[in-house]
Amino acid sequence: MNFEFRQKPINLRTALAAIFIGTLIGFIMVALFGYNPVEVFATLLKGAFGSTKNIATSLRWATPLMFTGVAAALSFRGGMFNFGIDGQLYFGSLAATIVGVTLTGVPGVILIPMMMLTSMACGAAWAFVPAFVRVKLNGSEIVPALMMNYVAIHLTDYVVHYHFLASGTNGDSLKTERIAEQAQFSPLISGYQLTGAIFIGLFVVLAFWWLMKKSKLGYGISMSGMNPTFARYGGIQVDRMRILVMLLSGALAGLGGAVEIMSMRWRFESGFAPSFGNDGILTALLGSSTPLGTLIGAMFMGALKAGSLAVERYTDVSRSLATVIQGLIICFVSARLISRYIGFDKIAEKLSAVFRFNRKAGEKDA
Amino acid sequence: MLDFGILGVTMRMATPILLAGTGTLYNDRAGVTNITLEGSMLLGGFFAVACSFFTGSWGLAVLAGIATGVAVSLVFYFLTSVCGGDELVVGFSMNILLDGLSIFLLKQIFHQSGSLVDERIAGVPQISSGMLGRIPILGDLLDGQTWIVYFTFAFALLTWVVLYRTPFGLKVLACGENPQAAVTVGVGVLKIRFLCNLIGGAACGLAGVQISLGFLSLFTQGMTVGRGFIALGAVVFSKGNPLRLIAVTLFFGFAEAMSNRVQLMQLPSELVLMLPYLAVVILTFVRFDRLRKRTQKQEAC
Repeated sequence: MNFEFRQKPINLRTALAAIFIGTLIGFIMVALFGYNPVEVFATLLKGAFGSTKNIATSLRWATPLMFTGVAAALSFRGGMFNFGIDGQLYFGSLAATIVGVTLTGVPGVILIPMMMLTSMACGAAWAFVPAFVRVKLNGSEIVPALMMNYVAIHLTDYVVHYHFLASGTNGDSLKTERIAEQAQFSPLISGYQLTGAIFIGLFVVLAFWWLMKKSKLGYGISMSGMNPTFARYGGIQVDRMRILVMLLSGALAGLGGAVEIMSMRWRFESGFAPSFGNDGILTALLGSSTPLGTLIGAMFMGALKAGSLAVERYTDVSRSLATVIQGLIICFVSARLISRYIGFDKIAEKLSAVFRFNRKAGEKDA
Repeated sequence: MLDFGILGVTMRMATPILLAGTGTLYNDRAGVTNITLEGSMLLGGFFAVACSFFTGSWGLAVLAGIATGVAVSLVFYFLTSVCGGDELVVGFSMNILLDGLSIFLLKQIFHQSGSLVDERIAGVPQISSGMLGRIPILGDLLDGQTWIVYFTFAFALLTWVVLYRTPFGLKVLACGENPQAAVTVGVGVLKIRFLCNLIGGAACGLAGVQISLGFLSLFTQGMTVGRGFIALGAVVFSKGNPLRLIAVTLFFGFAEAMSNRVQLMQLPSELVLMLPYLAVVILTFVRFDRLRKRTQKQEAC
């Protein structure tokens, strides 16, 4: 099977068309089951942007996607498909939690970086296996990365269940004790679900931008992703780049999990991040793996998540409606010719023609 | 612990993996990277359960499952071959979409979240005859299985014949190995790929039926738990050979059967559940090409 993956650039019009068609299909699905789609989607929008508190919730859900989105985007740029972000995230965040639970006497200034570094190291270690399979064994990284997700989920469950179970739970819910108080982030404004984690997320996106645009290493990474043969002729060690990209990607995934635990959960819980990894991959695909695109993608996905939670709370519609819409959007972003088949291209052309005509007329007047 | 009863469980556990894998093998050999197995199986299983719930007939349920798989593969074909989508991206997002869709439909049709268990759901009957059960090893293997199990192994063997002994199979192989050359000699590459897509989709749908109705007669969200991806791994390891695929899936089936067995002994269930996935990871480290070379060298000596 051919698992070579190269991300194609996505222009804004394709993305907007995909979002439009995806939402439209979601609209129809809701209507088919006898609900008022306008009402459901109004609830969704209100849940995402209705008040400052809701916007804060959207940003809260966007934060982990900044980490996992950049992790996915980085691997795509380096020509690897990191399917194992979930596993890396779980493994890294459990390691960080163990540090946070055991070293309670350490001051926060030291403990927080320690937890972050642990999570990054463990996430990278988890990502090393698929990278090794790809580079040294000449296999595909996709299948081992996927399987490592399930291994990580069961392994972390085991470690929590038998070694770090919170007192008072009899194994009915698998969670650890809370991490040391000095490592818990508190909300920036009380009552809002927004902590300093978002600044770490923004910093990660910024670092990604710097790496890809300003550094020699980033050039090597994107060259070996775009055209490995050419990169090899140019003296770039492609195999080393691939391993490095996967390690960095895994480290960011682990960091994302640790930050989520420090800022929101304060403890490791079985299944605390059910879809951060997959959502991160969707984020990167929507943002065509560029730093700005990934940031916007994360914001969009976060808003969709916050909105879908509101939909589930206030209406009878399942929140997995958002998952369906997300999946549809990425399908349509990739299948760019679809807008031609449903006649969307013609409408867009006409609209832009009208717009251009008006502008020309305006210019003449001036 | 190691009585022959485990052979029957191995067969049962290997069936969905082998069925979906064999279907995807057609895609693989025709040069299409279709990774929608997981979602296709899940939605196929869901619609089979839904159909069984409303009609009470397992026959219609099987048809519904197959139809779902075919529908999914048609969407995949439309998005990739017609609309120019990237196969990996579309496959990946369709897996997420179909998982979400099964949860959405479960909530909207049955007002359940999590799982659907009902007396009205008729399962696919298990065939057991007294005669068959009394034959020592063969009885353990074949007795008390659904007909889907028999069909699966026959289908895999038939696939070997189709691929290597028929004109259609030759065309499929040509499409995968050198599409340009295939077009030059007049093979309709798109048509062949379309047919392979349909076969793959139907097989994945039926595999979903075996998971949801073959043994338990219920649907829970995400109940395929990565079996589609295991099947994908099996296809990759088998390098497109149906016979090797049978061997690989039997190994995975054995790992799952063992994990069922070991669960009865007081071992941590989390570690036991990990076994099948770990088996796949470990298998990626085995390099079959190198192994074969070594045996060839030994033979040469």
